[in-house]
Amino acid sequence: MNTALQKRVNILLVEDDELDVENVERAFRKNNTPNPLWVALDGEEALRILRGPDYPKERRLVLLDLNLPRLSGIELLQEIRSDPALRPLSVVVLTTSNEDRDRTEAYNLNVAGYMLKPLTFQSFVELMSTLNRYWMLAELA
Amino acid sequence: MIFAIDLRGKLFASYACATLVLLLGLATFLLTRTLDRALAESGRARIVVRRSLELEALVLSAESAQRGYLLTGEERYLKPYHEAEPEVRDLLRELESAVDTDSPARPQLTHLEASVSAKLAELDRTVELHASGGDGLALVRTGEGLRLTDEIRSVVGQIAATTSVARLESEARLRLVRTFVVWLIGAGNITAFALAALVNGWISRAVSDLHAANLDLGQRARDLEAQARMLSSKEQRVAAQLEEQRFLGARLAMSNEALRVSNTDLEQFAYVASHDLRAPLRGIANISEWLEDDLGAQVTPSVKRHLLALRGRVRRLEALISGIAAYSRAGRCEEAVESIDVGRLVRQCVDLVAPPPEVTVSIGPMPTLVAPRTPLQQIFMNLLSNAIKHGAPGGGAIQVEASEEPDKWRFSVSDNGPGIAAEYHEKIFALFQTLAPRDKVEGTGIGLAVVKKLTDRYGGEVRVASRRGEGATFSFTWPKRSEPR
Repeated sequence: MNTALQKRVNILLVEDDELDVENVERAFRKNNTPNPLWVALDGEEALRILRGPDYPKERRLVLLDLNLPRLSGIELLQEIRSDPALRPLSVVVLTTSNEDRDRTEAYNLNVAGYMLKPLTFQSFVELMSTLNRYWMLAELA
Repeated sequence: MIFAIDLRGKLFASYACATLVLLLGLATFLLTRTLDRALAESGRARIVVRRSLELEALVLSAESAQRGYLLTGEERYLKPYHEAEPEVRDLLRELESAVDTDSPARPQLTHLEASVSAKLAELDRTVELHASGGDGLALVRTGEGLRLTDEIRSVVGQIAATTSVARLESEARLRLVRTFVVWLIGAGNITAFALAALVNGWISRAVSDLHAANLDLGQRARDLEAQARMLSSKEQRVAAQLEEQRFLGARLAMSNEALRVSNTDLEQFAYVASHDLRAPLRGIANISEWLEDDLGAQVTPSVKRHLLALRGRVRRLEALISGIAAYSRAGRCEEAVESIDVGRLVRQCVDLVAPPPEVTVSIGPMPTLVAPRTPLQQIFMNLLSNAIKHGAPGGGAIQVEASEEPDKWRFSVSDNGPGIAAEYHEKIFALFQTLAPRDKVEGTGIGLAVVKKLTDRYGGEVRVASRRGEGATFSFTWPKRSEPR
């Protein structure tokens, strides 16, 4: 892999389950991923971070769980797609829901991917590794 | 229409009959008048003859009275002579009125009057002469009186003859007319009677027809009334049935609503099961791996074995939850039918279930169906993975076949595994039912339950044919026209 082509990606993880947050963090550590990770525990916090001054305005990627308290993942997506400043944002869904309805709704809201959380940590690590490598090569809006 | 013309004809005939009777009466009246006239004529003729003869006798009696006076000179002989003259005038007047002016006897009568006047004058002359002492007999001897008497006798004879001829002619005519009248009346009456009888017959038939028609109409009216009553009672029954159906419909709607609510609950449950129950499970699995990671070299073989066992149970629970979600989802969504090449569908399913290299799958000739794709695909995938799971150890051979039945297709998936004892054939289609110990064969007991649910829903049936040690054949039917229940 030509590391010269790789650029850091500013990842916002929207996830209410602390275990899953730790899962992602552990996976990042295990993969030695250089990407900085922001964490929002629900949709409203995610919007605050996205619109706030701390979160960079370029090379952004949102990892979104659908089952969230208060503002659900789908509602957050609708909010993002109706805000001109956030509309070009790349969002990858990371969920346990294998429901057709969720999948269809998510893709209708222009998600860049729909991933099911693997059962084992080992699979999770591999998924995160692949995800990071891919997005570090991608040109982001 | 024919009846109307007939009726008009009959009415016309009845009028004709009445007219005929009227004409008959008129003719009879006229003929009777003629008859009367003829009778009167005949009577007058008799009178003329009789009066003529009386006149003659009167003249003769006057003459003989004259002769007696002339011979004896006695006045008493003159009594008939004096009496004769006024009687003669009466008789002549009577004759005058009895003989028509155009009668052939008329000139004879004039002649008679003249002769009688002359005779009476001659008689007067002789009697006056004799009374005045002259020779009356000398006048008698001239024969003038005799000549006049002869003339009167002759004229009376002529009148009698003429009048008798006229009378005979009249009487003959009378007889003829009478005969004609008799026949006319007879024939006319018979004709009129026949005609009247005929018309009566017609009319009475028409009347009886009408009566019968009326009776028939009455009967029909009663029939109609009865039918109307029957209809109305039927209508009431139908109304009652409709009411009942509406009531049942309302109850059905209520049941449907309850069913819909419970279906929604079930859907919610399936969603919770597939998402919310899985999350903590994944957490447990992950933590077990983190423990192992974090302990590093401190992990003893026993701890390692336990951690693996823990993750195995988590996987099984996860599979069960997925199975429940799949079972709940099975056939829930309405899918449009499409034309499906079943052979291709089965090959795709084989690819998706990815059998291990030692398992062979052979597919027989397959039809093309018009059906929803997803349920059919799920059935084949579940049967195939079942066959792979329970195939012969170290190299299963799976056979997929199709056979046509009158209104459906039968598909079968056979394996060469250990088979299933007959007592379990029903049981295996129940939810969560497995036969092998779970630690030996990873199975949730959901796949066949899903197959049964789907075939039931689409009007087919699933069954198994198997004997212990001889493999198993799972077959299901699919209607040629598939409509979900």
